[in-house]
Amino acid sequence: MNGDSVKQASDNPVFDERTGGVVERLLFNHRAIVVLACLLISIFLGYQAGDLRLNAAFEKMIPVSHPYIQNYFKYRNQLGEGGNTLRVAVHTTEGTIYNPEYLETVKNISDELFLVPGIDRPYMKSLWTPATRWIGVTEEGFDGGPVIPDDYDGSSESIDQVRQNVARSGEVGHLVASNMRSSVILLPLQDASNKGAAPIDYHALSSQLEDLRQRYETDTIKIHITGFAKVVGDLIDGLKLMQVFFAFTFVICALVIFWYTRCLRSTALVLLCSSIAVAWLLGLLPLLGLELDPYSILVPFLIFAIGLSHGAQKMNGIMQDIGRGADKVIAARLTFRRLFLTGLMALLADAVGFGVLMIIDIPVIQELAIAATIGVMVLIFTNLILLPILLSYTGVSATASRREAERETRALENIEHNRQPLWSFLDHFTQRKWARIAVMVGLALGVFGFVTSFQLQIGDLDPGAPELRPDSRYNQDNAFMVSNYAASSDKYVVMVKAPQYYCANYETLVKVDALESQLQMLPGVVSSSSLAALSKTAAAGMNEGNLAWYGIPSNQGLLNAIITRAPRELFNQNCDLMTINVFLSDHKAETLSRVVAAVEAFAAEHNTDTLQFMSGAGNAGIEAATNIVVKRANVQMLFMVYAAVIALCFITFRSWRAVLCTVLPLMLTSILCEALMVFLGIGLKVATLPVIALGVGIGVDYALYVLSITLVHLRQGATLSNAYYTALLSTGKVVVLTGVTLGIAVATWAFSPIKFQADMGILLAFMFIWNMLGALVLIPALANLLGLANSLSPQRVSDEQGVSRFAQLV
Amino acid sequence: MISPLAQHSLMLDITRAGSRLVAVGERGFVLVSDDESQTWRQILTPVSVTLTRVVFANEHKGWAVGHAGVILHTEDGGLTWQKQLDGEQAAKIEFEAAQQAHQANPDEDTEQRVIDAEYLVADGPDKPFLALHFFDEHEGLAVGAYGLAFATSDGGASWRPIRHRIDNPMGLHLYDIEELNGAVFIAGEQGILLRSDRGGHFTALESPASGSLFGVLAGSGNLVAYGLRGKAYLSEDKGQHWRPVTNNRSANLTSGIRLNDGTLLLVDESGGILSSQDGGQTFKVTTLEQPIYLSGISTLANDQIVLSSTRGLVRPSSANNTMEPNHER
Repeated sequence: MNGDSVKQASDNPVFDERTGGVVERLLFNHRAIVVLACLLISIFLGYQAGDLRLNAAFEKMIPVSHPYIQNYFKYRNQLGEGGNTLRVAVHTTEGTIYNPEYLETVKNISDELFLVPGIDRPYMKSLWTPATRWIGVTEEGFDGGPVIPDDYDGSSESIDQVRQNVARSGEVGHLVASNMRSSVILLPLQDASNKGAAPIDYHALSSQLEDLRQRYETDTIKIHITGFAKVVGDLIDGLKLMQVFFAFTFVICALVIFWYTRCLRSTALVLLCSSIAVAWLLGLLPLLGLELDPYSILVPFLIFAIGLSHGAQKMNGIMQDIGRGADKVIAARLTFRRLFLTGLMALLADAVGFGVLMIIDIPVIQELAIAATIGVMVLIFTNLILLPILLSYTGVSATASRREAERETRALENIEHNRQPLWSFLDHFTQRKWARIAVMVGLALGVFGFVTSFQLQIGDLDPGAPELRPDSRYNQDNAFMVSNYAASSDKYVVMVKAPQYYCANYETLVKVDALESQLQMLPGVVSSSSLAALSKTAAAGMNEGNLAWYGIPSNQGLLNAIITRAPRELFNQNCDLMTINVFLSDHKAETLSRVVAAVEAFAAEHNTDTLQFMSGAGNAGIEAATNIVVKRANVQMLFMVYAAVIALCFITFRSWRAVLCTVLPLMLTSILCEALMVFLGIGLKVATLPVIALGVGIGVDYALYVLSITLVHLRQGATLSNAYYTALLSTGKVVVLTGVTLGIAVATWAFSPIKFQADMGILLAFMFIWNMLGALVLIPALANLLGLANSLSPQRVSDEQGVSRFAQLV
Repeated sequence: MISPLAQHSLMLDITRAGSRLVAVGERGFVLVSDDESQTWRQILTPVSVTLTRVVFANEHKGWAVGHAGVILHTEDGGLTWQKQLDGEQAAKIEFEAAQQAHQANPDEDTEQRVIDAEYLVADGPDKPFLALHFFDEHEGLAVGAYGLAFATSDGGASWRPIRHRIDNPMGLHLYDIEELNGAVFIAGEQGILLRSDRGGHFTALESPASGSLFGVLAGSGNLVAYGLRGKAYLSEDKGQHWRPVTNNRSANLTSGIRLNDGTLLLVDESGGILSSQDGGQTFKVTTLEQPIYLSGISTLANDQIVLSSTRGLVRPSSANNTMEPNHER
């Protein structure tokens, strides 16, 4: 801020267009061209935005280069049923499944599902598929057949036959619920990585399933659907609701800004420019081949909100300059000159904060990072350049700017700083006594938060699909599956690699069995399946179903006979890869890390050149790898985001004291955010990992705006109290405005049907508002205690105009 | 191996040792209950192979047999177990006995016995014991797969092969041993039925069954043999003549018991419980709500029963039972 130049400007009716930096002259002397260019870009990108797709691919949500995932990718084509399987349970509320109408319904649904695109048909399984067989022994030898006999005709004899076949099929608890009131249709989905397979349109798939549910559900038939694809489908449905949130955010922000400015024109312009930024962003994404997924859908919100914050700063500056009597063009140029660099630095800090997320090896987070980085870059054009230029055409309403100017004059004349209660309260923190109290309280909170943050859980804490709310349709369906079927929805797959044709080797199977029995003993392990377990059952089966024979047969001939009948999901074509499927009661980090540790320990002891035990496929195996990556990334990410922020602050301020004043409040907020997650039962996961980086990125804006003005005045020799008070009156009050607006805007996400968006909303709202408080309370307090005012020698002020030497370069 | 899952694992047999219940099953699991099956606890054993049967001669002394030719023994009612025999030792004993027999009496039979014993040694311990019977705390028999058969007269301190005393030239699996008024019966694969007076040669009876028999149950003077596909046969003359017993279920019958009041109970592989009040002439069927594989039966103090099954131990409460025929709609 510089009162001098404003006075000069208002004293001289002729403004020298040659003043100002190169960029300023370039832009403001060709205002029409800039506006026209922006208009053309907006039309082009707005058109492009029509191509934007909503989707969420399974492969994008997992840490693709973690060894477990690499193992999974390497072998997934051989695993038969992969992690991506839909389960459709047809449930009768009256009687049992042994009823002709029920079986007919299952047949019809099964037939319809068979035709749904994306289903891996050879592996599809239901009561009616030929792969669902029973094996029995008669006096003549082996007997077997499809569970629903070929001559099934719906008569009570046929039904009795089905009842018997089900009992000896071994499918009770898997394909048929143990209470005989429901049966499942298993739908493995094609893998997008397979050659020739089109990527699955999850939304279309989910709609087809919903349509099916609509048509087949009656008073007595209920349909429950679970599986990743359904989660994604429901998520995409939830995303459609995001438009409502966006509208809501828009209205709230408009009202808050209008309430603050009382100027319709500038409020509309700020909203317009922020919306243009969002439109550009949405247009750029499809150009770059990106889609919006449930994570990156939040980016337009953030960009809009950040745009508002910077727009409000520009508008406030122009309004104050016009209020002081400057012409609208001159006001716009002066404001641009004064705040462009700060705004640029702040947006760069945001971009760095978001960009740091790129190091996290999970594609959805990387795409979120790309989208957010593009978004803040776009804001540089729309809100730092286009907005002041547009305001230079329109100006602001005369009454609003006069009111603003009067308010400012009154405040500045008020030497005791006691006229406005909020500002004078904050001004207290420039005094030693108050500063000490504030820092002590901050320190206490920091210690408390730090201790609490050790309890932060990694991973998802809620059962079922944690992306959705516990009472959502999906999670109710999931609860139904878990309570009625032996296999839970959380499956951890251990892959066992042996030499070719050795999958049925006795020694191999004994080792597989040893690992399986260790895993079965772990708390949280519900059941498991493997070729070893199967060979035990089959040994009994080959001895007339007598379970006294239950054990791995040491006879190789018998083992070979067994694997010819074994289901393909337990071993591959070459007979050199087996899987141990471990079904878990939940996917809490504790449960997963126990399994991971058990497998790792076993592998360390038993892996040889020829036999290797590897984690991990299945949704739980992938989640375990994700947890490991997320935990490590959290530390890395915090380290890098703070390193970047510290570097940027140092470039801007050239004072390590100022850097400390900026960074310490941000760190306090980060620590308290983790503590808040502990209290709210929110785990550190893919969805919440970016929150702290986003929060730090935006929090640093506040500090930059407040501290840069304070420093200018300190360097001009003002006392800390005066410098800070002046900063409060110019940028500080906009920080309050922004903090509140952003906070409210993201807090609306708390109503999202998507649980992690709600979690992110709550955490981001906390971070935005707490960062604002930190900036306004702790910055003056730390400045006092660190002796910021005395550390700045007046000689270092090289020019009275700029925020720093960099200003002239810009 | 102590496992929290033992109580829900496959249990293959259950019996009483005085006031205690003892059950055996997969992975060498032994479970005991001192409160009439209200609670069970796992007992550590020296083996991890499937245990198939358990018997007690009195409340302290008991034996359990299982896969890999294992025989375990307890002296304290099932709280601690020691291994008495395994498949390798058994093969060695068989081989030595065959050689001695051949030296004492070098004829074609003893030569064949030596050859068979050589195969037994070469096969390794791959044969399970499937049945066990003790007459008192000293005298007992254990039989199993491929005609495996051993006897003891010293409570299992030493076991001797008795395969050559059994008419089982095909080496069929032997599934059950039962005693009736001093006669001993063995039932097995392909319906083989054998009888011996105590300690004597086992001679084949004319069997009514073409499919395997998994058990023989002695009533008061009667015998019921049962097995594959729900087939059951009654003999009222110590196994000389048999006639089929009506059972409309086709599930394998797996185990049987005679209750104190003379009732005969049989269980099958899909939750069926057959009971006869008339010494095996006719059976009445009840089924558990869940069609689980039942493998053994024991009585409780309150005249109820407890069953071993694929999911541990289950007590059929009368509320859960539904009478056949049950065509639910």
